[in-house]
Amino acid sequence: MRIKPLPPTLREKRRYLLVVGTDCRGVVRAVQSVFGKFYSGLAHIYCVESGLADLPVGGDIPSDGEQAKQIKYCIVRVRRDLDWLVRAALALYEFPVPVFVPAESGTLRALREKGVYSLIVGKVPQRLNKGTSNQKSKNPTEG
Amino acid sequence: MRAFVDLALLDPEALSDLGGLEPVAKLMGFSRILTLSDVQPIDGKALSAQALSTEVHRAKSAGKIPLVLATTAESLKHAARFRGILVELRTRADMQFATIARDRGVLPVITLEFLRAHPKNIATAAQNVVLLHCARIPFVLSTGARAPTDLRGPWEIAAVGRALGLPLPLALSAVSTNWSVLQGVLP
Repeated sequence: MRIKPLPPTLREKRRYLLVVGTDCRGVVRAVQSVFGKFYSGLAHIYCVESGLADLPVGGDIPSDGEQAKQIKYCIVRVRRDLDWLVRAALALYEFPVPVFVPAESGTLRALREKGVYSLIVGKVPQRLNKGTSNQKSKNPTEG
Repeated sequence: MRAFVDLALLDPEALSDLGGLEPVAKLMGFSRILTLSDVQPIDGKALSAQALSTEVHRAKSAGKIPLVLATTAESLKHAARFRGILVELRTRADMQFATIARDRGVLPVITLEFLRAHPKNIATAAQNVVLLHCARIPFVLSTGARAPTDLRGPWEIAAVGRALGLPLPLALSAVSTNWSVLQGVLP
C-alpha cells in the first residue's frame, strides 16, 4: 500500500545538514560574519554532532592500510526555510579548507540511510544507528 | 539528475593534495570542474578592443574557452561582441551590454571570488542578476576559486544565487543547465 506523503505544512520544520570541513562553531561564525547575528539567530542553528572523520581517498573509504587524512565534520540542525541562508554563508565565508554540504543532507534518516554519511565519515556511530540495531535484535537466531 | 559544473581558476595539479581533480569533483557533487587547462583568463581592462580580439582568437585557437575579466563598463562592452565566450561580471552591467550579449550568445559569470572581495560587490551582483533575469539572458554562478580552499559545493553556490534574489530552480540552473550555452561543457 502506498503511503501518502505528508503535506508541506505537516513536515518537520527543521533540516539536518552534514557540513564537511568545519565544526559547529565554524558554521555559526560564518553565518554571523556574513549575515549578522540577527539572521544567525533566525536560522536556529543547533549542533547535533561534531567530530573528526577520515577524508575519502579518491571518493572511497580508505582501507585499514591506507593513510587517511582527518577532516572535521558536523551535523547541524537549522530552520527548514532558512537552510539556504546557512549554505550561502558557508559559500561566502573564507575557511582554511574546502567546505561543502552533501546534497543528500536533509533529514537524519537520509543521513543514515543514503550512505553519504558513511561515505564521508567512514563509520556510522552507534548513537545514530539505533534503527539498524533494533532490527537485528528482532532476529531470534542472533539473540 | 542535474549535472553540476564549476569554474575554478587554478591549476589542476594544485588539487593533488586532495586526491586530484576528478575525486574532488565527485566528492563535492560536480560532474565537471573547469580549470586553467580548459579556460584562458583575459584581463579586459588592460587591453584595447583590437588587442582583446587578438587574445580571444588566440585562446580559441589553443582550444580553450576565453574568460574575459570585465572590471570596467568599457571592457564589458568590448567583451560582449565575441560569440561563445565567458565574461566575468566585475562591474555593474547595463542594458546595452544585455542587448548585445543576448544577440551574440555571451555567457556572463558571477563568481564567489568577486562577492568575497568587497561587501559592496554583493549589491552590484544582485543588480546584475535582476538585469540579466529581466533580459532573459542565461548566466552562470561559480566559485572562481584561485586556491583549493575556495572550492564549494554546487548547492552552496545555488544558495548564494538565492541570496542574490533568484528563486531556487533558477539558481540551480545557473550552476548546471545554463552551461549548455557553451558547446561541449556539459556531458
